[in-house]
Amino acid sequence: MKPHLSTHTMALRRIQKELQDLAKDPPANCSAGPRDESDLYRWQATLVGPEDSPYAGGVFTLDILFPTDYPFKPPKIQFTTKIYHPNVNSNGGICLDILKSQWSPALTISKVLLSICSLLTDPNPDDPLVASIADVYKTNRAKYDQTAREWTTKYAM
Amino acid sequence: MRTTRPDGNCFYRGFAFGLCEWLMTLAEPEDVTRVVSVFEASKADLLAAGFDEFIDDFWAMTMAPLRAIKGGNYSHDDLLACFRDQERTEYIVQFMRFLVSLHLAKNADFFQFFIEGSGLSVDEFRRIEVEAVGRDADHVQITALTAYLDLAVRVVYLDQSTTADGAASEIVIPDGGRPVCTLLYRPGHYDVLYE
Repeated sequence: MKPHLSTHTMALRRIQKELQDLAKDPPANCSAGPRDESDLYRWQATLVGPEDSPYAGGVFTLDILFPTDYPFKPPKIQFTTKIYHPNVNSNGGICLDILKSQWSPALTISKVLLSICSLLTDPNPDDPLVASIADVYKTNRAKYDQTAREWTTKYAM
Repeated sequence: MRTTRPDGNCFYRGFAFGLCEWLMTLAEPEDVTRVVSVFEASKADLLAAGFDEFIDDFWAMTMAPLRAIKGGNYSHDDLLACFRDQERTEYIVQFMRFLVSLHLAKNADFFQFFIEGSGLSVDEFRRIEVEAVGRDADHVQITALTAYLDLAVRVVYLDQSTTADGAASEIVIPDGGRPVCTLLYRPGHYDVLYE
């Protein structure tokens, strides 16, 4: 049998490359890296609330867990800062197609974080994780904006 | 018949396996040289089309058996070991997906007419129906992959398209090409078929 790199090595190599890329070319308004240098599979990320959203001025942290068969399975990502949003539940779980059925190894943490930023600006109330917040978003936008701003001030500043 | 794991990657896995077997047995030396050089050049092609450097891992994992086949030091057991190793085949299958996506991107003006029925743009189709893990290949994906590699594949259908007398229908993609392998299609799944 010919020697080959095992995927665990490949997964770690890929994670390291993504880390180097983030350092070289950091995406706007977010940062990410390992929580502890000894475990490259566990990262923490921070997002700055987009200016054109009720989350503006907030700093949100997220936990990232890479599977050992990364990049063939998506990373598990959740908010650790409380956020009022139709696609984020009370545990910080995020409903985003690219983190589930539409995951592709062509995606990177950097691209995923940018998608989460877009989700903050443009929620997807038709595929909600929290139906009650989606209802408010669709029927009373002013109330939604106000509650989201209040939560941002309370939990993310 | 050689069965492939029924996980949505079966077309790509079956085709890649059939292609390697063809290169090792029936292909003329100049076919081997040409096909391997198309794969060699594909990395630069992908990068030029805007794919990011992460495709390198997938390209390298795919080139390993191809270079060994070209060098003549690859046995059928080596090939089986490679394709039974889920880790290595995942990289190879994904690389086939990237080649399909690349060909669709480079020929978007043409393929949009075949994709618009799905309600997706070419870029959305590439992301959702091609690059996403485990998504089945249909006619568009098969056409794009064979066109990029300038090869043909025969697909034998055992489904509703079966003719009135119960015989399976078959097509060669592209029409009139010389197939490198035959895949047996039963709804939702492809296996490699031998004469």
